[in-house]
Amino acid sequence: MPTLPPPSSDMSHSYLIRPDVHFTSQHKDEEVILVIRKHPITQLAWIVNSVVLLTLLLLVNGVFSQYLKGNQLLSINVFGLFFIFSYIWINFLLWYFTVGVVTNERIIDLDFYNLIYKEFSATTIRQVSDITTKIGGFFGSVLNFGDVFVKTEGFEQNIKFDDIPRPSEVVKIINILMRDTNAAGDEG
Amino acid sequence: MEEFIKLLTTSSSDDFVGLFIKAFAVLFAFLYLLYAVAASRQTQIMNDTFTTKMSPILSLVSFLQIIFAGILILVSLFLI
Repeated sequence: MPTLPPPSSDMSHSYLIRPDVHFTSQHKDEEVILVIRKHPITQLAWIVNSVVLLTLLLLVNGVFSQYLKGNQLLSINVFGLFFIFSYIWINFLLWYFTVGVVTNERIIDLDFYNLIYKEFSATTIRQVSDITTKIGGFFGSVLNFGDVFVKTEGFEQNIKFDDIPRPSEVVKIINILMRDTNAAGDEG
Repeated sequence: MEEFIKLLTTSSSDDFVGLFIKAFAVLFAFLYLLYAVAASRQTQIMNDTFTTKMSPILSLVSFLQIIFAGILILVSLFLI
């Protein structure tokens, strides 16, 4: 009979098993089993944008260095670098805090769409009726990431994890938790 | 292109370019301060919502941006 895997984490911190984390509204006996973030490859767009912006700043230095005064050029560089850093920082924070959390009691989807808008959805393991995975596209197939859709009974909240690594293993873990929860319910 | 840049940076237009850069710097510095305050506050909320080992570092970096924004305002007002 399959059991829950031991604590581990991958290099990108996008697939963490039994990590040392806490979240708001966590119950006293609730244990975090799995924390998942979007696969790092899905963040490539803003990383490439940042590199392009840095390259543009270097180009500006090359073109305008002979026409502008030292302090003017320095200020353009300082403000340019701050702008690029803030762009990187916002995107990193949004990636870092947009997580899916699976505990021994609930499945939680925490989404930060921008700096001022967040969405917190949760459902209990007992209410889960169906789990679907979708792996598509070249990168999805090669790097093993995709979507996991958790359907719940009745009008309860459905939960979707987008572009997460190892979707099949996530489903396996949720299935184990469902089995354990149902077994505990039958015994109780 | 080169002629256009020269036109903007010749002695007669020196003040104009300097003024433009200073105005831009002051405006950007104040906008950066607004962003830094919002980012710091939001990082705090994010950390409260989901706490990890990295939380203190993330809060610190976000808070440092407010200090940097203050320095930027001073630099843009007095040194440019």
